[in-house]
Amino acid sequence: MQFAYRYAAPSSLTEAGPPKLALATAATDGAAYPYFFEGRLVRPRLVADLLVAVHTIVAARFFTPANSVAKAIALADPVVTSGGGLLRFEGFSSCCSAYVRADLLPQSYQGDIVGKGTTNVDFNEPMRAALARVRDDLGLAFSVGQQEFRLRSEAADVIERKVELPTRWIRGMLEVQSYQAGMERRFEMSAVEALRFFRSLPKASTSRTPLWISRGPAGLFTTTRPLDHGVRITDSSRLRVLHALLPLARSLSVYEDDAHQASAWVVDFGEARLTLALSAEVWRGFSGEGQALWALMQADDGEVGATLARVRAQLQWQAALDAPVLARELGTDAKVVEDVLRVLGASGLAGFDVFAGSYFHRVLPFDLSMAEDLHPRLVDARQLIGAGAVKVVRANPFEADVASGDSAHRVRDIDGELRCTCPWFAKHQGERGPCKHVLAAAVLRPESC
Amino acid sequence: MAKPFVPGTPLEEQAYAGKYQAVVDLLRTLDASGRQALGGVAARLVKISQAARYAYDDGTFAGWGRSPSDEQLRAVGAAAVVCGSAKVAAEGYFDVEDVIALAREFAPPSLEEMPAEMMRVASWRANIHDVQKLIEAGVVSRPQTDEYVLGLMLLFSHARMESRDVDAHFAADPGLKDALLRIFEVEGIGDVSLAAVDKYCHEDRTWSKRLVEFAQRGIYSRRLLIDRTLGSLERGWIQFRSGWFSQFHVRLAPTLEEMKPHALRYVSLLASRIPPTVTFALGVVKELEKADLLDPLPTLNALRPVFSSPVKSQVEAALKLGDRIVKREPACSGEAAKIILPALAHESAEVQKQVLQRIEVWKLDAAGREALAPYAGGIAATHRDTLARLMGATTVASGPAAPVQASAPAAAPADSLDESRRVAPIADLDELVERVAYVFENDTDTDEFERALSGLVRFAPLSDDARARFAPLARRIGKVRKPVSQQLARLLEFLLSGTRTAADSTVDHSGHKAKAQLHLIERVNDLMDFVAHAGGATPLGTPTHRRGFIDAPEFVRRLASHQASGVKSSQGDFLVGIMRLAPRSAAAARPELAKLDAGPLSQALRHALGEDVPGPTGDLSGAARRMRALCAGIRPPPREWQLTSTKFGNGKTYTRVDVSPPGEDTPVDPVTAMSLAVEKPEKSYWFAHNSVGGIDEGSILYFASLLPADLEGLFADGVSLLSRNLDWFEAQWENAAYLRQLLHGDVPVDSLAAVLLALGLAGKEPGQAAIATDALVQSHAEGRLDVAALAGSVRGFLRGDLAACARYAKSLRAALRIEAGAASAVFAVLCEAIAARPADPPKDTASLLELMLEIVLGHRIGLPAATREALESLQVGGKGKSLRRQLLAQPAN
Repeated sequence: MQFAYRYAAPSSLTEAGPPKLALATAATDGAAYPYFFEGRLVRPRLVADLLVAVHTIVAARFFTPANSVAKAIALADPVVTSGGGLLRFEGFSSCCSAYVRADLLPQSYQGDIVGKGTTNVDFNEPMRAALARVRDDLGLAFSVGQQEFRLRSEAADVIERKVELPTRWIRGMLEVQSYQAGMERRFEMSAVEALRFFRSLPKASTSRTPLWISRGPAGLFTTTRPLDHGVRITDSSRLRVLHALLPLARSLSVYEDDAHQASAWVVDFGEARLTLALSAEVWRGFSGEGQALWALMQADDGEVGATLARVRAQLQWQAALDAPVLARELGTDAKVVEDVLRVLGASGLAGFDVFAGSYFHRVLPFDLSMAEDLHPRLVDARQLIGAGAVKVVRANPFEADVASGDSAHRVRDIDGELRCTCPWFAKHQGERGPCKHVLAAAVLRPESC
Repeated sequence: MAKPFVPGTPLEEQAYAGKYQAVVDLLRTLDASGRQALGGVAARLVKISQAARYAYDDGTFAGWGRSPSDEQLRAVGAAAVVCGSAKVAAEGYFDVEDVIALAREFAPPSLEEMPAEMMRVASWRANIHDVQKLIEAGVVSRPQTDEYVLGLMLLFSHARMESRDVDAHFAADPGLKDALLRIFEVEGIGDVSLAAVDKYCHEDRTWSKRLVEFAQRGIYSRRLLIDRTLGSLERGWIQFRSGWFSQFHVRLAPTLEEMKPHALRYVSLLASRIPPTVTFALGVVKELEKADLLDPLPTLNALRPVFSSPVKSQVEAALKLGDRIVKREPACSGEAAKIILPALAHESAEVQKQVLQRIEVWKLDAAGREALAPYAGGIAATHRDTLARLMGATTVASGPAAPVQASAPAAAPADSLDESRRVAPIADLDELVERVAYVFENDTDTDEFERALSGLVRFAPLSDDARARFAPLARRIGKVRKPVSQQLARLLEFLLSGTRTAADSTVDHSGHKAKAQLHLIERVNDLMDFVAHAGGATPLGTPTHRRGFIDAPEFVRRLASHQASGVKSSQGDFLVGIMRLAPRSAAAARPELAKLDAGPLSQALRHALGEDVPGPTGDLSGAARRMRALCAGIRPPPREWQLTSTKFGNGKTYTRVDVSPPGEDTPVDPVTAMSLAVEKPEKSYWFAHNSVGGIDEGSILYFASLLPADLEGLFADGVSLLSRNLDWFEAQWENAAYLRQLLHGDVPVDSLAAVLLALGLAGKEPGQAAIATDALVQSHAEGRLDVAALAGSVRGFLRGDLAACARYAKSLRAALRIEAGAASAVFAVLCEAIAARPADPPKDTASLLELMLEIVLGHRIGLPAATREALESLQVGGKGKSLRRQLLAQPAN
């Protein structure tokens, strides 16, 4: 899909006189250029490092498929969200295996949040170079968007950059939210311990041998032996972006989902945080995962579907969407609101802050009307249901035949998990979300099972 | 087969006829809109003619009918440039001189974007010269894209342009001088960057030399080049590419006066993420500081990130800079003491020592002393007292409060026949379909492969229902590519259609077949015969426990069941089964032997399980004798191994490990026979070794399951292969399978297994080293590690220059991080390692001594007399000498 970024001016760091970093925001669909923030940064060097980290991930390609150009193309400019007093900068690597988000908390700035919303923000090479020169002792004025462009939606000297944005990129950006929502904190460590541990990691890629991180009497260590409470990681070179930040940090927390398929690394600086989420393998971006499928399938569900519109009406760029509070306000069940939030996350209408353990409102600045179409398995499952391809063989334990061409795959409930006989499920064993047959059969599974 | 191209319009006819002038004449008859209307025709002509150029295996030449002639391509190119879009023009143009002429005559709209497209669609190397010619001719404007800049990077490095000097370029294109400066703004890709160009071209054509010349000739000012170089370094590009700019700066050799205006930028580069940039910045900042051009406190603050660097030399350089600043500004000392604290997290005890020495002199305030606490966990044992004193402890600690004891190994290795290791037979058709599907996609799970194989045999002949259930998998059979999975697919196909498809082993790089695959093919052929009359009987070779083990009583019952139900057991299947017997279950099986008939298989089994009966003859003999010996606890004598070094013309000596074949007194069973049958490499490449498992991980694992009670043959292959690729000159990912066998709790790590472990610990590939480290920790904790054998191997490899001390130090240190209880094993290995070559110790012996000192102090282990003796004769200098002295000062064992 072709996507065009339109900026009134490039982001820049002016150094003549008191330094000022002005980040340019993108205008979408002919709307005005958003103006979010004007003020000063409390720790300029820290924020510069965080923005460089976001830029580094956005410009990175940790895996290059065979026979493709080895050029690391920054597919999409980072996304900035202003809401609830926070400024969040999100980015995604070209290979879709690493997601980064820098959160600037209210303590990190002096000034005004003048607007709320989400848009793309221009990160360019000259600005990247200038960020290297930022010093705490000189201070730094900071703006996201500019007053003078606020009312301007068109400009003669507009900067437009077109990129071919693969659907996998958008799909991955949606998928990573679902993954984070299912993660739990495994470790928390001081910056010193984190630094020491990072130095023990291999410098060369270990993409063929997954490592499991665990804590022993001598601190954190890595092993090749799977550990229930360990954190699985491949190619630790993706963590390198955090090295330079650790000396400035208070602590590092590591999160992981139960199936050990993705991890999130959150560096806490007190007034800011950096979240780095990594997929299971470098060659396997978040885009191919199917964690969001269950949520999107639920969007059709009666109660969730009915509540969806009501929750959407409540969205006002909140920094944290609290399910019980929303449920109380809407007079509905908190569990249903949680399901709705999952659907919103999978639709690009909410991000997940794994450190805070809550969703936050943001609308990805892309065409989200096709969010569901981005998931071929979801589309196929709906077609299977529509074509009456699912035949329940037994209700309990649940078994169903799902017609596929002139043959049928059997979906069975084994210890609460639906398993299928199709090659896709055989290959991934449910680790990459359900196959289309499981998705379709699950709709016909009785509630009691 | 492409559809034949039939020219349907006058333009197509003239282009296909290769009449350039006719095409141009035709275009002259049209106005601008008429020419534009032919854009689709031009695009089609370009698409087909370009496809035809490379349609080597297509008799139709992508429908063009022949390989396109130059005349045809030239005529098509004219249509493309005049009528096509920029992309079509860029793809289809033939000669740049034609483009210039056509541009002047027709001024086609494609020209505006054509140069940018030319740089996008084809190689920069080829097209940059044409783009430059268009610019020089004044028919196009200069592209502003990064791809054009990549092309500029190659402009002067191309041999094709040797006849034209740089001045000619500048003269022909006056704007080039400014445009060229963008090479400082674009990072580059793959083999197109300033660093890559300079690495692969002649010194005379390198950018670093040219740019210095340009500065000397006044084309660019030195001030400008310094400014641009710093700008590039500030962008933090990857190490290889950033490194070029720091090296160029050195080559430019700016004076202090020239650097002075950029002083703060140099200081800012100390925070770079790129190690060579930090090293470079440290050098310049040192010069600037010497010349008193920097403010002390801001400079000290700017050094802060360097103290967190993992690069020892950078930390040491920063400490020295700190010394100078404090000397010049003594009031900074307290702040300096705080700023250098992060360097205490460095793993080098030497760096820690230097930091502590300075803190003692510079003094910390109360907050600073408190900030020392987080570093206590990682401080070297030799510095714990100093740190405790600096933290303000009232008494000086003599060591860690509770040193971790080097634990003794656990009681015994895991039982191969433990209930938790049992492999349950497939219960029903649903499970069988699912498991077969799983094995089709996961070829390295040997246990599941065996379950599925056995399941298919037991469920044969397949019912109509089963056939329907297998229908989706039947469609998959042709797509199963992995050798082990393929054999399951063959069996399924046979059961579904009665078709016996031919099969053969894959070959390794030297064309040799994997004996393990040939064995599996033969076994599946055997099972195809067996299913005809099996009547649901379980194949004899089906494992009852993981790793291929068969519980002997169960094996006897299977054979008895075959005999009772009149099923003719396959001898091949019997041989697979008997080799998989778990020796420790032999005694329990003997009472069951009475159920067997008096046939040859029964007799062979009785003999194998230790009954006092004559041994079989023929093919059954070797297997029965081998298993009888194993059941009696007799393993073949350890196989010899030796280092073989070969010196090559390049002056390098390559060393490998060669393992001798089994001794003549070892019974030649079917598995050993496979090893003996492997052909020796035809050519004497030092790195060549043909193995039983070949180059497929699944096949190696299958081989490992054929004689699970004795893996010496497997480890012999592993040792030979790993020793030939210790420095990872070739990606041989499959060989990690050999090391993974050491992780099984029932595999003794002795003899060749210990040799394999010693190689794994010295491996360059971090994944293999990590597996070996786990194997060391795990096998020691489970009491199955022969520490002496491991230590002896390490010593041998160091003595023979096969392995490096630094890698051993790293792996052994990692083992201690995982399990401090492994200290006794690690210490034993170190004791042997340092004695490898006392008179001429291998490089980095100090890293082993440092680790040894850590263990001695941390675990309060005394030095054995032999180690003390070795240390006394160890000829080390520098850091090693100091460590040796400290070790010798420790109490004896």
